[in-house]
Amino acid sequence: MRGGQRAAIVLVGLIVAAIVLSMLHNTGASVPVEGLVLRVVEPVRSAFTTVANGASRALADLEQFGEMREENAALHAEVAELRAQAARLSHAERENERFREALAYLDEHPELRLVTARIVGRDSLDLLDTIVIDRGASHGIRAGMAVVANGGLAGRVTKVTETTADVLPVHSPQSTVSVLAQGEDATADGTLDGTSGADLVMRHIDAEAEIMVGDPIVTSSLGGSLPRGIPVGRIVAIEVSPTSVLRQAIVEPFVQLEHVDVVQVILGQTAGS
Amino acid sequence: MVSRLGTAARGARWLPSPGTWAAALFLALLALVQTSVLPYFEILGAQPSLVLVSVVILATMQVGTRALGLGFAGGLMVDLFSAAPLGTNALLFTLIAYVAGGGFGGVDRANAVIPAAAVVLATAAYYPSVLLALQLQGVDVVWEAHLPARLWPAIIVNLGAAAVLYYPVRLLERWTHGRPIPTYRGVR
Repeated sequence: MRGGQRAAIVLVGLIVAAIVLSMLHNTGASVPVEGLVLRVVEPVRSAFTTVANGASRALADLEQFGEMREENAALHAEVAELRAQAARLSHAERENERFREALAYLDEHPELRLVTARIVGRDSLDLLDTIVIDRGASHGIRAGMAVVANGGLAGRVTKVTETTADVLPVHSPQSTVSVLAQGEDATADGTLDGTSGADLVMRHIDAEAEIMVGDPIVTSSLGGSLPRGIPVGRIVAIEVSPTSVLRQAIVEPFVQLEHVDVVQVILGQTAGS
Repeated sequence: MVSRLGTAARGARWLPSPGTWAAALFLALLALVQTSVLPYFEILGAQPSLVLVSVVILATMQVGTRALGLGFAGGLMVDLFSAAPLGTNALLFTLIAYVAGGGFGGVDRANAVIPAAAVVLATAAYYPSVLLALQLQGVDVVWEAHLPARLWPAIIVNLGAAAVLYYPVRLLERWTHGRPIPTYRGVR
């Protein structure tokens, strides 16, 4: 058989194998094997992640050291600006109080059963945004569960193997979460979508709803997939469409996953609570 | 030249040689670095695709079907370790290895421009292809956000990765396959 013919036959065989693997993945049939492989490489991957995270932080610290002088000048200017903002302090205090209440979610809900997990893998192309954590079905994790970090919603579990789970971050364009905007006197329903940028977009807000910039956003129980009240972010801008009775708000998320390496998965509530 | 891990230790003819297993292990290590370490160190807003670059360099050096198998294995490991749908990168890397091997197989492979050109073309083809593959599998792809902003940085970063990986991959190929590789100064 000529080399070219043999290469073509091998190519077709490998294409068929890739398509079969894709089908097995989509039906979930490959999950046990994937889990086994990931379990084998887990110690190496965990060590790599620890070293990389440490090095990344050290580099960030070095960069910060170089910027200290500029930062000092900027801080002087900021002090002057802060003095000018003193008149608005009262409003800011009330707003901060609401943030503290929101971010104390986990402290205020001791009945929640949590599993702490480390981030051991990320989508290297930054296209899917998915992250991989080192806890899976054997630790009670199931698809759809909420993942929190630093007291705020980080994402949702999308796929589970025996020892790992894939998490879709809340900032991913693939992510949609039912949320509430907590105004001073009232709340407003909406859906929170990830974007390709750093901020999130809360859509389908009633035009009559009393929301304003600075209001905290928490999960609602609509749809039933996530527990109610998990803090997600705060409104930084409100957009009104002249052709629609609904509004949308730009939301800054509380959790920035780039430098987070430990998250918690909410498994549910403790028995009897 | 005698292969160190070539066909001498090989059992059944249809089984991959020990050298091929060693190359696959090398790609597995690169896949782990690519998915666990590099996401912490973005360059120009992109991360080097070490496995893709290595597969392309291997394909331009090799004749036959070995690069296809390594492309498939490398892509499969990237799928496994990066939470991408299984089979996506395996398929794309196999096709890229086939095109890179066929497209550059007949030219002077001692020319250092060849692997560089192959890496540029492979990266340019890979990004839209992987977006299309993900979209076909039901992922909501934002083309205008993902493609223009990431393609050029990815090409530049992968070109840099090719400069770093070229000689290690060349050494690996020489060590595991034992086939003489042409250089500027002749065959060695």
